[in-house]
Amino acid sequence: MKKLAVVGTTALLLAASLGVWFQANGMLMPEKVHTLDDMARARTWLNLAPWLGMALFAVGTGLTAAVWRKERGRIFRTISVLPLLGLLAAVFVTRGTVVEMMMFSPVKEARFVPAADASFLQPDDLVIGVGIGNEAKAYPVRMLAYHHIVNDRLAGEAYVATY
Amino acid sequence: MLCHTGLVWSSVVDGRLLTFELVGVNNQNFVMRDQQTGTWWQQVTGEALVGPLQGKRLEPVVFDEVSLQIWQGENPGSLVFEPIPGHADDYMDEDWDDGMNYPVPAGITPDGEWEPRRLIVGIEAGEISKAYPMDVLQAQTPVTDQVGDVPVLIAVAGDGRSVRAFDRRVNDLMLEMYAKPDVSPPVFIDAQTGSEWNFAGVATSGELAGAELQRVVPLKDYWFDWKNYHPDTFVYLGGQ
Repeated sequence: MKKLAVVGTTALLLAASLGVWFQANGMLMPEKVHTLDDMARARTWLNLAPWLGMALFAVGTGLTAAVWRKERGRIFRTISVLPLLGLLAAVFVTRGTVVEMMMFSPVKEARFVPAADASFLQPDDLVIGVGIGNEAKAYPVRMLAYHHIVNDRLAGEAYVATY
Repeated sequence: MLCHTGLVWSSVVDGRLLTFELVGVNNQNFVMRDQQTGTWWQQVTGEALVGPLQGKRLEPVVFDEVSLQIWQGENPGSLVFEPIPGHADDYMDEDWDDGMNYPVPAGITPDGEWEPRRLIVGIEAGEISKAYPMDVLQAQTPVTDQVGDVPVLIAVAGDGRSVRAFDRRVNDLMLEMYAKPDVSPPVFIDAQTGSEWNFAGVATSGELAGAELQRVVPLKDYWFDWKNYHPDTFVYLGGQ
């Protein structure tokens, strides 16, 4: 029975790893109104989640490896790695929030064209315009509403354009 | 989109350059995290909610929300953010905000007759704030009004969406402004001197030629969101 206990334990570790992450994300869901305490808790747990995920994966790997060496049955071996694969997936999932993974396509490097060459826009398309000194940049609202955040600078001033 | 707020914030806080990313949603408005300190910031207020920089505020950067045509006309050398390869099909449709009906949580649904997702233009002057329904502005543009101590001019261009606001005091005059009919971008004429003013707030002819109105940065927002962050806001009832 010991071997099944190991599989069960690893499955519980998986549940713990994802549980912490889901619970923290639940504090950030759009349909909820949050207090600052909610936000602080969510932030603490979400900062912890990736480390917890990795630690639990390490523990699960150790446990599973120990019974692998003793048990040669192919069926058991197959079953024993399933929760471990789940734990591995959790390591990746817990690195971010649901919202950032579903809603965020980060702009690593914004690129620009002269306004006269912006054939991807209609004249009536709205832009968020920033003018500093003699320099100007425009961020089309339809694009900014998708990327949400562009970290940028103009005439030496650093700013973040958001929508 | 849950919210409707375009805003530009300085990335420098206490001399430190921050890089922002999206982390979550709070009160139907997104929360940013900076990579340098891990602090969480509310997009619409620029306030640090939780984390090492809690209590700090981002400095606003003056910006404009107008059509490309108007922006380009005034800034011929402007650069435009181009689509990120692979994402061109992901961007919002032109009418993306028309069918916006995502429910608003009960805790932040304002009382009163206005729909929570009615689009408004919010103006702040010192401690005083006021909300102007977009549909009323479109019908009555230009609107001259008073927010706290500041007499304002709010105008919508012919495209129905480019909005600008100005302090309509020049020298010792408080200008009454009228729009020339059927001109876009709008041209205003003041009742006091008959000078003509363009949509950038610059007098182009008449006695006041060369004078410039000071900009007031308006925030386009949903009514519930504006009310949530400006609980004491006044509302413009439009000539009633």
